[in-house]
Amino acid sequence: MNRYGSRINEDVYIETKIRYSWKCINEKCVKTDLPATCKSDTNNILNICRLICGPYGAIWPKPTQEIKLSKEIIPIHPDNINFDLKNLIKHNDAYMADKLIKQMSEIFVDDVKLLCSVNCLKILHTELYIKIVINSSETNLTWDTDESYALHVKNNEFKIMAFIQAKTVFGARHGLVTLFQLMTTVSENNANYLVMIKDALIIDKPVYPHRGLLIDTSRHFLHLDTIKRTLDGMGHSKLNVLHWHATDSHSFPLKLPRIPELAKYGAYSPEQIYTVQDITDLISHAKKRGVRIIIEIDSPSHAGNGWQWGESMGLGNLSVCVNKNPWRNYCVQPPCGQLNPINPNVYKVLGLLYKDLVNIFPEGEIFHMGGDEVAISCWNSTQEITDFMKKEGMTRNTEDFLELWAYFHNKALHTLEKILENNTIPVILWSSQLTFPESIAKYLDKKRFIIQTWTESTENTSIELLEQGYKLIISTKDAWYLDHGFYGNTRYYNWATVYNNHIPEVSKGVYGGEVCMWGEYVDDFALDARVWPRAASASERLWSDPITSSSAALYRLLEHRERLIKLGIKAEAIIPEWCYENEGLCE
Amino acid sequence: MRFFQNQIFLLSIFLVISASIEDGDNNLPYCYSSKSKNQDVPVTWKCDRSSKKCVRTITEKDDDPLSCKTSVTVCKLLCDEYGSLWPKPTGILNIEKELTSINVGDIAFVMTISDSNSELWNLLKELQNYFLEILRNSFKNKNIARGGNELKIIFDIKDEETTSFVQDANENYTLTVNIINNELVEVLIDGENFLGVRHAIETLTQLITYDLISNLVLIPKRVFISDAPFYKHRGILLDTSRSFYTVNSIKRLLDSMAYNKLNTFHWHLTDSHSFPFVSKNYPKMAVYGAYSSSQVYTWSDMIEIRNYAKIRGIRIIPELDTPAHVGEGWQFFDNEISPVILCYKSEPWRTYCIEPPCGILNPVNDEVYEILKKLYSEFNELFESDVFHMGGDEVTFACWNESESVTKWMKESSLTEQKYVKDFLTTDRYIIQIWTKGNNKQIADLLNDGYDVILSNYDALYLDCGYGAWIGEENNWCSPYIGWQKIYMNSPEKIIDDLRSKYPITAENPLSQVLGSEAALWSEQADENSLDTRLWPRAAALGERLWTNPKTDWKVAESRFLTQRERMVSRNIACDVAEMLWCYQNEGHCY
Repeated sequence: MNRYGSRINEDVYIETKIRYSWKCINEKCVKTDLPATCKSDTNNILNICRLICGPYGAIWPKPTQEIKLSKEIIPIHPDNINFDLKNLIKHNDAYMADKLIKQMSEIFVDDVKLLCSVNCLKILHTELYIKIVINSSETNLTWDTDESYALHVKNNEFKIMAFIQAKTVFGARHGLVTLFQLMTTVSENNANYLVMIKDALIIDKPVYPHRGLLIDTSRHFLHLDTIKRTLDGMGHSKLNVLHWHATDSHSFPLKLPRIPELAKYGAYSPEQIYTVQDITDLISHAKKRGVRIIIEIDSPSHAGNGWQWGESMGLGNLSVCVNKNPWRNYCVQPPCGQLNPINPNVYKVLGLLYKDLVNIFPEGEIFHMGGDEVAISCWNSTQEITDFMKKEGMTRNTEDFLELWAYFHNKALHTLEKILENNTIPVILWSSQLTFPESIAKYLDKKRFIIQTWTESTENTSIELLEQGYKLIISTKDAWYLDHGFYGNTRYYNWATVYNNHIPEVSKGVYGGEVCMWGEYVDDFALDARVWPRAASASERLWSDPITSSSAALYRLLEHRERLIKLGIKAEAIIPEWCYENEGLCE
Repeated sequence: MRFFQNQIFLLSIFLVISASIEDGDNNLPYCYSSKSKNQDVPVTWKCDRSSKKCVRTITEKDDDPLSCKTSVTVCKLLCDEYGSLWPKPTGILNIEKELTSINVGDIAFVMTISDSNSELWNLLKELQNYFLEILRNSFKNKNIARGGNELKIIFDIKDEETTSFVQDANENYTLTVNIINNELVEVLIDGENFLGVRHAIETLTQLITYDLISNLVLIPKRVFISDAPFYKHRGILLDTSRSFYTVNSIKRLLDSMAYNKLNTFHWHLTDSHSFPFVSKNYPKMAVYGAYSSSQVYTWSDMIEIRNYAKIRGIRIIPELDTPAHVGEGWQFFDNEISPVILCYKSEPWRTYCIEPPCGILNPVNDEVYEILKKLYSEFNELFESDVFHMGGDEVTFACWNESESVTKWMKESSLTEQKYVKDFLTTDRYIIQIWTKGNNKQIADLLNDGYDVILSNYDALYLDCGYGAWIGEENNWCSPYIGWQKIYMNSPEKIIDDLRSKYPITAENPLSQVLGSEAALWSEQADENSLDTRLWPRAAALGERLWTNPKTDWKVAESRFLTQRERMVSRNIACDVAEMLWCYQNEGHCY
């Protein structure tokens, strides 16, 4: 014995519950001073308090139209979830949509199981009955897709009715995600049980139709599981575009049937490739999570390894300056490499490449053709190019090189059009020297080229391009470049900076934005932590475009982070755990 | 031109391999051609002798069945002058540039020690498992060809008593590999004590590689290495108070420390944020102070961690941060007995402390010392027994200079507390852990005052730096992010030389007062989800800095460093990326 109580052994201790209690006061969950050692009212548990406290509960991103959440919860169990799926469209087209919503429902149940993974207890035999009504056969996600939904949860004794009404399957899926966010788990020793809000009404739709995350599989190969895990996180954060920067000068991991040489020469190793099967698998995984994949084959710059075989096969130099040194003279980052715009075989190979991609991707899907950071010095140091320019009566000044660069993009687009049987779909290009507002009109048709700007928040480029009628996707470099902070003079942008980055309105011609996870310094292992929860921060900006700042969102985001971790995503810690438990005391 | 027919013949017993001989400039003894899947990419690695770098080369005659290829792991093992070892050995290093295969299913250990009931015997058994586990891990999912030579590992240990690290323990070893009659690979490991032998095993794991072209597990035919560390204190600090880390994640940390011959785990166990330690004397401190009942360390957890560390040659230095950085957990006394803590959770926090929640021990309340005494004695029982029992005459304890004022307070007024530390840790002096910048005069002052020091200068060794601030939109206080290069170049020797140019240094041999250094992972913005990526591979740079004290630049080490990163990845450590993959495959092109 000592003055402060008896020496108790550890086993006794473990039985002693540590349970502080939390109370919802002024929309904050406030921790009481004393731990309760006996079982207390479950509403006093932190994650339950967060579920019901405040107008938005633990929903991320916050709904934009209408929201009412009851303060009451009820235990449920993953085994007692049933669906009634109904499509008001009856003709044959609806088959695919019906199949898709069924798959989405299955994923919902799987995720609920993950939420309550360890020893999930059945406290009550409450049935969660989910009725989904859609009225569209649409299964391709585009910028025009109606993603709105209404979710109505009503409790009737031992039955909870969740009614989701949406125009499309994609809207309905968002409804399921929101429904998922009305749930949390309570831990009891080595077991868990699931609870959810009893009554709720949510009407919701996104502000921007393009809510994206860029990943880069050229600077480092990313394993399929990593990409799928990322898609899972996106689905739960209502991000809807995975911009797949698949290739670059470093490596070419796509193994395509018409031109296997690209991966043969360009992959880091035979294991580090994506086959057609892999890509199809990813597209389907993404679609079931409400995400479309836009693939980028960067060109004409950022193309080197993978393109070295032209000469030995009698096609001439497909890419020039490949791995050339000293690299600073020929590119912005090693290894150098730029497609050879004057070699007609380049367009033939691109044609085969696009044809493979068109076959793999859903009909009408948009492609990204890269188009950034052409090093004029590379082309200018390549004799066959300068000879060609001379022959064509061009000089070697910048303007003529820009002309050549624009020639490349227009010819590449034309190549794609031929494959699409003259269907004119636009392609996306990065902002560059070629897209300077003062001269872009000379080079790129605003009806055919969508520009993804990656300028800094203080620059006017985006606004000026919008004024000229160009459609944009915004990736503000000094807020949404998730790779910054780990090299050179770059600075890391925390979740609040990401959140508080405003972009021009949809009505001005903006589809939306993307946070960019460039791959120089990230691979399978650190990807989760670099991307999450910061990409979720961007998702609320793009879905809700809130007028409030990040500080109003912190505790909801922390709950979302906990949720992502339960789903198997290793999201970064953004604040000491003590602050998570002591709302408002770390400001 | 050299001729390697013999060993290729030996290997071809097991595999249908056709040998070819490269031209004199690039020859490596091993290259293979086969029609396996691995030959899809027409790539081979060639050793450039002048730069000692492996060059990734596209093979021109891809369809030629006799075209000859070398895998990257084999090339790096043979081409690099240090055999891709990390950290680089400090003594004699002789690695023959010829490889032979071993049979990972046929490994024998020979231990000649006097007492098979001793602790050493048990540790050596554990060490064998450790070695085999690493091999299993590294070669999992690999298609390994059958056959290969038997591997026999013979331990020779002089001091059978020393089994854990104490301040002046000898960590030296020699490692000899020989092939006998082309059928047995014999490894002689000679260490002063268990610690050296353990390090030798670590080195041995790095000499064994898997070749994805031949599917063989290979080792150089003859090796002689003698090795000893330059600095004795080579540590990592982990803060388990700002965020909780599970026992498993701490074990993973200990594994990765061992891979880099780091030998001190400085456990910043408690802080004002949480008190996860389940004390036998005061179990209620955790009831009040832990984040939840599952986020605690019980005695059995800690003993498990201590034993796990011991097999890896790592000692644990627990830190109970005082007198500031106390808070959660300590309110138990205030609420139930008497006030031992001041300013607990005081608001506005900026007035009372540097980060919320506030709290500081009440130094004039004797209760405080009563509590500390009991907590220290528990730590002593849990962690320090090895040090005491094995005859170490010094005990390092905690970092008293959390801030200059606390150090001062310690020196001038807190003799009582000092007394308790002495009573229970029987130390006769303090070691100061310095966390100022590397150019701070305080370092010179402390050296001149005769203190032994451990350097954790935040501008090179705080691995939490560079991320976003956790309050507001700026970056955290010690930004920018610290690259591995800076950690590698953070030489205590150079720090002293630079200080000497600005301030008088009167200490006779100041470098001898530097016991080593520690990299710190403070956990405001890290938890076990990002533990691996925050620490690794950057802390591996610290491993070589402290073990080897290299005089050469990080550029010289880069290729080996990247190899070490890949090695750790193959052992399930989720390392961050240090360089683009293309740069790893194309040495010397990213500068």
